[in-house]
Amino acid sequence: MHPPANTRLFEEKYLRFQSEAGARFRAASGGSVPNGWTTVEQAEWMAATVGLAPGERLLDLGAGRGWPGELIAQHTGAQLLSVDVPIEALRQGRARMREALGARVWQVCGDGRALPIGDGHFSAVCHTDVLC
Amino acid sequence: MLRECYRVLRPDGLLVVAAIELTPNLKDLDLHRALELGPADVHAEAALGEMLQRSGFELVIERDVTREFRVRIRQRLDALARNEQALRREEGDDVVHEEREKRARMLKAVNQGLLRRTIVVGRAEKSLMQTSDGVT
Repeated sequence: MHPPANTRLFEEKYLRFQSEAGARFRAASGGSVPNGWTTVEQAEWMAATVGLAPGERLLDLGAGRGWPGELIAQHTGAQLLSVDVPIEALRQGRARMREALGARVWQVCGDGRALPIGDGHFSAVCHTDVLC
Repeated sequence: MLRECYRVLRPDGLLVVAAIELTPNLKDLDLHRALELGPADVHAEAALGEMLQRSGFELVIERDVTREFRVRIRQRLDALARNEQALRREEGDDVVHEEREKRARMLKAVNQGLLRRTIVVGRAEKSLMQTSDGVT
């Protein structure tokens, strides 16, 4: 499977604002939200809307550092597969997601256009700020 | 990518998509400005809801969250301004400049009604015969 041509750009995005000043900036930009434009209220609305039962499977496609799939899985008890291209993003989210979800979370570096997953495997998919 | 989402969902499974998109029905000059001011990969082919439907989903909910999006962009620009000196030192001038320009353009596009942010929910309409479970 060939990674998208702009993989390097995706990786570079996650290497930015990792300094101390960068961390303060990120915290001031979105509070407790790790990344992206989806607010906590919107993520909670998504969790209520998808109506997953504990143990059902959720795919967060283009997950970045894990938002908002992590919150949806926390609120619903779902198992979460978190997929994205930049390994750096997955790495940055790993410890926090493990603490929040324990053994209920898996991370995969992969291209959303060709997922190594069988048909009909998930009860819900979330896909935020990836199309744009 | 939406067709992949459809494929991996069980029948009646839900897809939730949030994206920044062009305001529908922009004409010529406005469309050109929106593409200039918006994110590099903003798509112009169709509205998000329509793209979901073309990929096999029944459109269940469409929610305009542009107001909240505008607030978040402003938050980001304010945070950038407050931390600018330290950011320039630790991240570099180019990074700070690029971030500010990108967000300022985006805010301008939103304020001019050229860009919006939308959350859509689609249901994967398919018969039981179309699925098989398993990971390859």
